[in-house]
Amino acid sequence: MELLDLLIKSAFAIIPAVGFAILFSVPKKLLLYVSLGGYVCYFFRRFSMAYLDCGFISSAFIASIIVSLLFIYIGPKLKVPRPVFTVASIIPIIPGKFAYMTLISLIQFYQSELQSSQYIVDFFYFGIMSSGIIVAIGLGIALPPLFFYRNRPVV
Amino acid sequence: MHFSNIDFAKLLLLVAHRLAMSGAETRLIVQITERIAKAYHYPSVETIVNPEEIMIVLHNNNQDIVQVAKNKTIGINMYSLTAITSLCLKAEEHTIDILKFKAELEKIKPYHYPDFVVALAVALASAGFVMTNDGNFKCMFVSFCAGLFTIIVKLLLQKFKFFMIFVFAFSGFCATLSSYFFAANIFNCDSQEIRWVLFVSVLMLVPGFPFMNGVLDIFKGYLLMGFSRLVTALIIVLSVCMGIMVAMSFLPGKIMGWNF
Repeated sequence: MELLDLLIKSAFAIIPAVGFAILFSVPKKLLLYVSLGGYVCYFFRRFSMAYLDCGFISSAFIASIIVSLLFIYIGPKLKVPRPVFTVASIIPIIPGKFAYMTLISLIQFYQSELQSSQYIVDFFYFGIMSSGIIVAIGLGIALPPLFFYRNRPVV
Repeated sequence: MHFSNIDFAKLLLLVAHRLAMSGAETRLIVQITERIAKAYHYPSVETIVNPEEIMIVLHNNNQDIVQVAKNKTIGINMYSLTAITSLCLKAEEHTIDILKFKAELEKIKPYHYPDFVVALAVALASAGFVMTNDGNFKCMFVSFCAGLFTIIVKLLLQKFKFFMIFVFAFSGFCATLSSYFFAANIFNCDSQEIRWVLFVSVLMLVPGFPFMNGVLDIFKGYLLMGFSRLVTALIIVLSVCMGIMVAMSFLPGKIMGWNF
């Protein structure tokens, strides 16, 4: 994917990030920062996949680390706790497709007449992918602050 | 007005309880209450947060005061969280006295965006998910319609105070059925487009906050709280799955194949 294409496409990630921020009642003046977070998160996820040859899981990890570092910088300046931004920002990279495929392969396995073992292989493959991405996102957001907030308070 | 030690412990409990109700991570609750206590010259305060209760222990003049409240998260509200946090910072800068602090804390009410704004935002988010998953503009429009229908159903169920598992299961059910209906019957999408719309429509039901807070709590050493939040997230995911599976049984058989 061309870099320009990627830059334009990442703008669509702003919509889910801000939509979820509104669902979580994030104050209006902070929505701009959430949109920045969503954009950066999605951009770096696709960028690391296209240009750094990362897989699904490692690219999600890199993207969430970058978002976490971004809000470690912005959060204390605005005097707002970081989860206000980070949770909505990582929403665009939630592995919906893999999670859905996991469920579909499970349904297919018990509904098919032959009970093909391929469905079980698919179930585990997609299950491992989706849980791996989710764990990578969680670690990416949770780990960086532990290095920066050893002796100082959260806000 | 005289502010006794018991009054102060009750005030701290109120702060902790309000923070827990609006979905704050455990370390934030502990730090904020202890910092407020320090700002008003009560150096020895312990805050204990469990999945079941919040406890404030205030040690002062050879006297231990314990205040306990039930721990309950009623809904994610980042507005209250930021408002209470900034109030704490004001207290730390000694710009407000304790009576004014209490008055201002009681003034902070959870702010919710109007329902139609939430519905529109989440429906647009649903449409945005299509593009982040390499979909096309037609799918975007279908997802918007399905997302709008689903979020309206979810908000109505929440308004009538149905229990969490049912709200998510029924929303997952409605999301799958409505997205298939819109995609196949109204907009005549092909099989690939139907697949996009089907998985995108349930993405709005992901439990972002319980999951993230759970991971954050576990990494900061609050294992009990972390696990309880992660289990909540898991229950939400499983109930959405249940809804999808029931909805799938109503869809035509060909929908099950990879190349439907």
